[in-house]
Order: sequence, then C-alpha cells, then structure tokens
Amino acid sequence: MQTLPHLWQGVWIDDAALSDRIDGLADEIGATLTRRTTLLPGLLGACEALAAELRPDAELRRTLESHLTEHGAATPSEVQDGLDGIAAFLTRENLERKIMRELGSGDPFDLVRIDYREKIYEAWAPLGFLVHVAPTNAFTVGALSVIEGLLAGNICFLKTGGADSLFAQLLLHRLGALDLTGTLAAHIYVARISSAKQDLLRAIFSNADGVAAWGGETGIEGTRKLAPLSARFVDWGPKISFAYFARGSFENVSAVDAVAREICLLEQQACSSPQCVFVETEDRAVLDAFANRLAASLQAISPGVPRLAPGPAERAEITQVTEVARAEAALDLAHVIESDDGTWRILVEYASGLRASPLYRTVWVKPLPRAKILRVLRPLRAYLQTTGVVCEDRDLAELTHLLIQAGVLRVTAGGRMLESYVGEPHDGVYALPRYCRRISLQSTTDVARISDLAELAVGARVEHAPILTKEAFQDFRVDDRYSELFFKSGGSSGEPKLSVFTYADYHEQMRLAAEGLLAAGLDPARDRCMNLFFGGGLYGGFVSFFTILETLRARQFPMAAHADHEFVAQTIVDQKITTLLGMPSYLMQLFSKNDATFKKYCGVEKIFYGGEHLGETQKRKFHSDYGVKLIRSATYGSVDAGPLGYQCVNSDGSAHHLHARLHRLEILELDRDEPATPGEPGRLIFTSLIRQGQRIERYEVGDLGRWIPDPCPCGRTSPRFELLGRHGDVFRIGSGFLTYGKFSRYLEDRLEFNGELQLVLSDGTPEILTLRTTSAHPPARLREILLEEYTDLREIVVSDGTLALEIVSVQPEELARTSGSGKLLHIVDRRAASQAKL
Amino acid sequence: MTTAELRVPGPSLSSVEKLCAIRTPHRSDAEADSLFVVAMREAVDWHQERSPFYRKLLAQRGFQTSAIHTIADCARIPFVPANFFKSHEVLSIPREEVFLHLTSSGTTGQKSQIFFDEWSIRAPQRMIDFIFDAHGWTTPQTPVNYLLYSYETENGSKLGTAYTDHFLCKYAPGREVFTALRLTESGKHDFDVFGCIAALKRFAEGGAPVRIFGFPAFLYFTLQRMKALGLSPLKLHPDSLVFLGGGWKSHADQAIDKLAFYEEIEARLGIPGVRLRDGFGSVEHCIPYVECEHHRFHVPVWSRVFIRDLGTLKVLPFGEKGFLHFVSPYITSVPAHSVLMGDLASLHPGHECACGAATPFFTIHGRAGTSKNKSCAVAAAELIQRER
Repeated sequence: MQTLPHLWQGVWIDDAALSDRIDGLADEIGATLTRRTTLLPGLLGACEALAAELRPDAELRRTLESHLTEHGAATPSEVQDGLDGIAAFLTRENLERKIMRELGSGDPFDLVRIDYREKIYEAWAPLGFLVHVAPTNAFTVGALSVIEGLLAGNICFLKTGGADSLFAQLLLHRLGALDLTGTLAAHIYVARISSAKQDLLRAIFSNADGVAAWGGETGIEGTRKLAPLSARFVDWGPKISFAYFARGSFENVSAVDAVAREICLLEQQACSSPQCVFVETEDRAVLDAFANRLAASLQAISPGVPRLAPGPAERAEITQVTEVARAEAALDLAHVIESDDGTWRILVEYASGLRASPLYRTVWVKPLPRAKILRVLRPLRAYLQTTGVVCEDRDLAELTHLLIQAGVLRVTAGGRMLESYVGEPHDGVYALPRYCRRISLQSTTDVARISDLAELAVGARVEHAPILTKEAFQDFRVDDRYSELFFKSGGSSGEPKLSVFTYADYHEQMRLAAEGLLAAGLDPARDRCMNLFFGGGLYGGFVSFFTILETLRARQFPMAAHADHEFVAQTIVDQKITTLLGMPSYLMQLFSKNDATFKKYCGVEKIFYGGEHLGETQKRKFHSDYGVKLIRSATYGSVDAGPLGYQCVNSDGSAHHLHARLHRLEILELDRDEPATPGEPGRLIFTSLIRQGQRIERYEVGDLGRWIPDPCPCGRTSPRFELLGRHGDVFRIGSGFLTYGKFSRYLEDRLEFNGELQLVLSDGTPEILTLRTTSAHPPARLREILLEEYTDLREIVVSDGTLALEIVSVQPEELARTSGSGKLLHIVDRRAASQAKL
Repeated sequence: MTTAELRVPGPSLSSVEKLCAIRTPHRSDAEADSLFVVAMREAVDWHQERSPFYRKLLAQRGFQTSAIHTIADCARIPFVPANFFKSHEVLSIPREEVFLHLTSSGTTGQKSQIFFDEWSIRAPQRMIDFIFDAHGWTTPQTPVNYLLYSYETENGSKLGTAYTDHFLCKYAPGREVFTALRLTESGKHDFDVFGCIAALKRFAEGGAPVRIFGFPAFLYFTLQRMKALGLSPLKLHPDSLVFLGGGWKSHADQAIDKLAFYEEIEARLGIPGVRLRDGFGSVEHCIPYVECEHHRFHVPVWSRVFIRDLGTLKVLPFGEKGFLHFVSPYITSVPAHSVLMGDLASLHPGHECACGAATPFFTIHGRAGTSKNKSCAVAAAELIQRER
C-alpha cells in the first residue's frame, strides 16, 4: 500500500520533498502551460478506463475499498455508494454530455466563430492553475473536483486535510497512469496538508489562477483568505434544503409519504435532503395535525429504509437540538415527536425561521405562509439549495417565483428533492465555465475564411479496427437514447434505409458543414441565399441546408425543389437572390426552363450544389450563359456519415478538405486494406470523431479518391483529397479496370455532352460493355472519342481484344434507376459471376 | 454590600447561602454533601415557584422536589440545555431585581444572555476570592503588572469576559494595566500585538510580578509574533501568574496542545508551569473552575458534575465521555441550577490527581456535536483573522 502522502505530477513524494518542490512550482506550471496539449481526448479515455477499474471486484476498487475502510472515515456502505457514484460520473457518455451542456461544444477550447458574418472567434480557455480544497467530510469530492478541473483543461492542485485518507491520491494517480496520451499526469498534484501549515499553503496558493473551495463555512472562509485576490474563487459551501406544503395539499398522503421517505434516505446527508418541512399555515392546530400526519408516515416508512447509525458527534448534536426543543415545549414554542426507538424525530416549532437539522431522520416542521417566504428565507439565501414543493398546480408558478426570488436554486416536487439529472447545474452554476475563461480573437483578413483555428493544427492518428461496410453500418442497431432524428439514406444503392442521429450530432455536423460552406465562398453577411434542395419524404437535404444557413445567419429563402419552376425563377429575380443551393439536376432544369429569365437577370453569383455530380459542361454553361461567378460543391458528405469534406476557395474540381474536426480519413488500396500510394486512387475510409450512439469507425462510404499532398494555399492544414467517383464506378472487365467517371469526363471534355450515361456489363466472348446514353451525339462519334482519349479502354478493346464496346442511344425512361430516390444507376452488372465490385 | 454581608434573596434559601459561604473550594465530606442536597431542594422550589417556564418543565417531566435525597438524586433534576438560554429570557426574579445582564462576547450569531440578581453574581465572585485565597494568589502587599487579553471596555459594558477579567485585578494592586483588545473609535476591538509585546518587555524590565488573564489565543499569537520577530525570551518575575479562559476549541485548526502551550509560555516568558492555569466557566454556569497545579479542573464544593450519554442522556460512570452536566444551587435569578453544557467531557475520581484535592475532576474533550457553537473564543478568532 502507498505510504507517501503526496502525488506530484505522477510521482509519490514525502513531506520533505513537497517542501523542496514548492519553490519550483511556478516554473513547472509555466512549462506545462507552454506545451500545446489538448487534455480532453486523453482525459476522456482515461476516465472511461478508470470507471472500468471501479467495477465491483476489480483490483483497483478492492484496493480503494480497503484503504478507505482502514482509514475509517467512511462506513462500508458509504464507500460503496461513493465508488459507484464516481464510476457513473466517469463514463464517457456522462462527461461528454457534461462538456457539451456546460461549455456548449464538444471542442470547447477551439477558437470558433461566434458569428459567421464577423471575424470574431471565441473559445473557452482554462484558468490555468486551479487549487482545490477538499472537504474532510466526503471522501469522493476532492478527486471529482479535480476531474472537473481537468475537464476544463486546468493544472489541478488538490489539498486534502491533514488527517484525510489517500483516496484522492490513489485514484488520481491511477487516472494519470491510464492516460494513453501521457499528458494528464503533469496536470495533477495532490497533497495532504494540514490547514495549520499556512506558510506552505500560501506558497502554493500564490500560484493560483482559480480556487475551488469545498467544505463548511469556516473552512471556506479560511481558504478565501489564502487565495490571491487575482484568483477566481469558486465557493462550494454548505447548502440547506427543505420541503414546502402549500395550502390545499396538507392531506396529500402520498406526498407526505414521499417526503417522509426522503427524510429517511441517506440520513439526510445530501445537500438536497429535506431538513425542514414548511407548511403554509399560521394555525398551530393545522401545523400540529400536519406534524402528526408526517409522524404516521415516518412511523410506517422509516423501518423499511436501511439505517446508518449516527456517530457520537452526530448523536450529541441530535440530543442537544432535541433537548432545546423539549425545553421550549415548556414555553409553548415547540414540541418533539419522537419514535419509541429513537430512530426518527420531528421538531415542531411555531416560529417560521429556517433551521438546520442535526440530520439522521430529524426534521423541523414549521409554519410559513406564502406572504412570508421572501422575508423569512432571503436572509439565508447564501445557503438555500432545493425546495421540494407540494402544491396544487395553480400555485406552482407563484411559489416557484417566490422561492427563486428568496434564493432557492432548485425547485422539485416534494419527495423528489434528491433526484437529479445528468448535466444539472451545481448550486446554481455550471462548474466548468467557472473553471474557465472565455477568450476571444479578432482575426486578420488572412484567416477570415477560416472559421475554426483548429483547422490550422494537425493531429496524429492510429487506426486498428476492421473496415465497416455500408451494410454492416446500416444493420447497426442504434440505442433508443440516441435515436432522435431520422433521414432517408441508401437511396443511391438500392433499398432505402434510415439514418439516425441525435440532435446534438446533427447540429454539430451542420455547424461544421456551415463552416465548409463559408470556406467555399458563401458570404453570410452579403449573400441572399435560396435553399433549393429537396425536402419532405424523409430527405435530409432541404432541412440540413436550412440549418446550415441558419447557423451562418445568412439570409435564406427556403424554397425547396419546388415544382413550379417559373415561380421559383421569378422569385429569384424579384428577391435579388444571388446564391443558389441545390441539386445539379434540379438547377439544370430550373435554368433551362427559364433560360431567358436567367440570361436577362444575370444576378446569380454563386451556386453551391450537392447530392450529385455537376459536369464541367454544365458548369461552363452556368458561367457563360447566366453569369454565375462561383460554382462549388456545397459539401461532400453522405447521409450516413454526415459532412465529410468541403471545398475552400482554392479547391478546384473535386478537390476537398477533410472535415478534420468530424472525421479522420484513410485512403486504402482498391483491392486490399493497405494505404494507397499517395496520389494514387483508393477507397475513402472515414472514422467519426464525434458521433453519439453509433460508432462510425473505419466506415467505407463507397467513394474513391486520392490524397492531394501539397499544402493548400488557403492555409488550412486539414488534409486534402480529390474525389474520383463511386467505388462501384471502378469495375473489372475484359482483364482491366475501368472507371465510370472517366467515360463521362472524356465525353464532356471533348463534346458539349450533357446527356445521362449508363454502363451495362454483360457476359460474352469477349465480355461486353454497353454504354447507354440519352445524348443526341451519334454513337460512332462517342466511341471514337472514348477510344482516342481513354488509354486503358483502348488497350483492352483494340490492342487486346478482350472487351467488346457498344454505344446505344436511349430515352431517359429506358435507363435503370434506383427504386428509392430514382437516381441513375451508373453501372448495371448483368454478368453471371457479377464480379463488378472488384 | 461587601461579601461579608452577602445574602440570598429569600429566607427559603438558607442552605444555599450556607453552601456558597464555604471557603474551602475542594472540601469533600458527608456534611457538605447533605448541605448540597438540601440547598438543591431549596433552589428547585425557588425556581418552581417563580419561573412559569420551569414550573411547566417540571410538570411536563413529572418531577417533584421531594425526590431529591442524595447527591445522585440531583442528576434527576430536570436540566435546561445551555443553548436554550441563547434564545430565551427566562427569569425567576422580578425584572427590577436584575443587577447584571451578561451576554457572551460573541460578535456574530445569537448572544447568550443570562440575568443576575446581586446574589447570583456576587456568590460566584466570592468563590473566586476563596479560590485565590486557597492558592495564595491574594497578595494585597505585592503590586503587579496586568496584561489582559480581553476587550477594553467603556464603563458599563456587559460583556462577560471583560467583566470577569477586570474583576480579577482586585487580588493584587496594579502598577500598570494593559488591555490587548483595544477599543477603537468605531466601537470595535483591535488586537494590539505590538502593544502587548512592548508591555511584556516593560514588565520584564520593571521586575514586578505580572498577571496575564484572558483568551489563550491572543497570548499564543503574541508569543508567535515574538518568535517571528526574533525577540529573545523574556524573564518575567517567577511569581507571575497566567490565568486563561475561553479555550481553544472553536479554532482548533490553530490551537496547539495545552501542555505544549504552557511549555511555550514558560520558555518565552519565564513563568513556571505551576503558575500557568486555565479557567473554565460560562455565562450559563458561573461556578469558577480553576486548574490545580497539575492542570486539572477539580469540582468545587459548591457544584456537582455529571457526565451524560450523548444519545440516551443516562449518567455515565467515571472515565466515560459524554455531555457535561453542571448542578449548583447558587443561582436564583434564572433556572440555571441544572445546566446541560455543549461540551464533551469525562469525570475522574479525585485520587487520580496528585494535587491532593479530594473532589473529582473533569476533562474537556472539545465540543459535543457538530454545529459551530460560536462562543467567546470564536469571536476572538474572527478578530484575529480580520487582523491579518
């Protein structure tokens, strides 16, 4: 068992070493602050691992249990409850939700734009060096306070009491050891120092940027005097809670029972336990009758709630308070109702003032008319926490108002005061913002289009999981807790499926997609945007872009892919729309049907497209005929995985930046799971960094691409890749590999080719490739161009003779389409062996 | 009225008067015991007749004076918790007979307040006379210098500790009196540590015995400051006397062990350990308890002490820790003749102490209970903290 009392950056040290090291503390803090470390990923992982080690019968748990039991500061059941509570707190799910709730983002320390129309960035930043003073009465609090401090990115110094156990040291030592990034331990100091050692404490506190003080009033006052004036003082002092029975509810037996139960639970040791029950009356007889009712409930309920016997000091406190009340009975000011076995007692007092109970099933019952709530309670506002209100519905608003104005921080139903929810504020505030500073950056124009400074940094990555196919992904059963928002997916490759998201994921994805759109050239301050994506029928397009434009606070005309093209065109002209967002096929139809209108208007400056490929010929047509200046992909993404990449103003063609905040990207060889040679085509494999409920780990989205190794002139360091089409677009036939995209690209490059194009693969000797197209160009001309331009095709058709190439003109309705969204199938493989997919 | 003429306020209290006139503090015999029992019966009757509160308390507990026959029976007399007096005024005398109204010196929270008729305050004061006489501390021929670690007062202050400390100055003529907690213009008190050090230096040079009374914390901080300033130890007159009161209990984080403290005083001021004494007393129970030369609080002939279980309130045997329960018939102004204190204490037979006193002695083990019981020493501690 560990015998040295202090933990110093992962190392156990004794008193002498502690004194020696204090002088160097300022320099050490400086060194740690200089390093650009991101604690969070390592911390979350370490917390999760630590939670696992706190499972019953795990070795660490047994070690901690025996240490605490030997130390004697907690009963075995308190030890169990405490350790269970820590394990629950440490789960990744809980911590992520806490960070999101309290700091408003999963990456709260990244400088991000707070308004996309301005060049202002804000972020949370740690206070720096945060000193925690643990209370001596609750063994878990010190360590948990440190973990909160670490979540906020701080270097944490925990002072425990001179007679405290080494629980916090042991737990936090293990936490540091479980951190795979190796950054955590340098941020953790725990020392057991008696409050009498003022000089030592002063030396430590002199470095403090923040002080988190727990404990009783006297202890907190002592800590306040040690804290430098410049340090933020975060006071977690003692609080008191009570129940309130409004008139009309005195006969509410189930509520009285519920409050009685809460008086028994935890022996009232929680801050939110009722210590007093106020009754809205001024009539002594009514109060006495209520007290008798509560006594009957306690009589029935108390024996069923396991009891923790008070220690000598607690027994003495109960006795003293009770004896004073008994003496006051001789003045008709109070009386005591006590169980025969002395396990619970009610102290009825006819004065209204809130009194603290000596606990262990001891409760005050006092009169408090509504009109006196403020006067009676407000003087004690520094101590008020929870009120469990029992009232008729119509009284709730008024009572809540009065209680909150009096200083109460939580209002619950009577009997439910102990219940809390994940992410609940603690004593009226969120802890993490109190341990942080809100900092800002007003950028220069150089980074004006970069909405997130994290894009300028590069991270390391390790991949190990097996590749996740689309089928496996779609078969994944998402827990109901994470199933909030459903979109149709899988439309382009067969049977429709639904993709499911949490709202939090959805909004985070849309926020990043918004940043992508900003990078691509949308100007929220100036552009008048029309959202022309399809909506309804569970499609995500319209809704997503609505959110994206809302996030950007761009002007938006939510038209959707409206069927009345003339109306849409006229609205664009009338409303001086400058920017269109939609699917290429819809945009093409819209412009061709209102050709004259748009040629005359020439006011559409920007087109952001998505959902389909937009050919070079069409782009040229938008530029030349309609005066569009900027045409770019709105986002590269899939319904399943969300936004994957975006184009910056320097991204031409199919070049994209990776949404590095959302995903990691691997590009693997076409036929084996090895990284593709840089610059060579490969399969795009994404791993989501933030996604609740379902893990998108090494997800093969079905697209092909290649890395673009050169740095982007825009300054972003997020990796760049070029999209090369769907994975299925590459197929093996006639002893070679061919790519659907190349057929269309060569035809577009040589002709004003704007028809649809489908490849049908059939058995034969040699195998047959049939190109079906709606183009008006003569098939022979198309064949000629393809054999001239497409070297691989020419080799197998002309040189090797292993493939027969046919070109057929067809009507649009003759082309095979997906059953769901009616998208064109690029390749139809009719071969028996069906080896089309490599 | 001189002490010689001290009279109980009613003829029914003749045994009370007799008991309180016993000049031998640690007398212990059957005669004293039976006098005590009779005096307690008189006291209970007195309060039952005059205090509606106490009358109702006795009725509620079904207690009758006739049940008191032995010292052990005195434990059954219904007690009033000391804390009760912090929030309630209960009198057994007409208000116009109130001679003194003492409040505890706490600067925050509720003040303890006890009302005294002349008898009820003079009788304990005379007991201090008896104790000083018994210890040989009454030295009218030897002038001394006084250092009072108590509040400097305007005339007429009712602060209990200040009242007590100035009262203690009558046993020897004063050459100089220095009060450590100086009254400022704003009416508050400032701890004048440099004044104290200067006074001690003067006293050491002057050669006369020094008497230091009051809160131990302030003396401790004076010694600490002397050490911090690198001042060499002083050699005060060996007949000097340190008699402290108020205790450390409420700021235990800064307190040091009593015996270590005595060693510190001996080392810094040169006063021998047998001349360093602590006192124990309270506004709610004014019988003076003064340490013997072995630093133990023997129970004087005028009171009896029981130790009660913290939960059941049963009387505990020697050596066990529980509530301190004082019983004494001395007080006629309020029904505080049986008071349950908030202190955790144990009682020990007199023969366990080598000082020769036959009466049992008690040891204080801190406060019983968990709440902050703000007494004089807390207020003093607050003052110290404000000082820094």
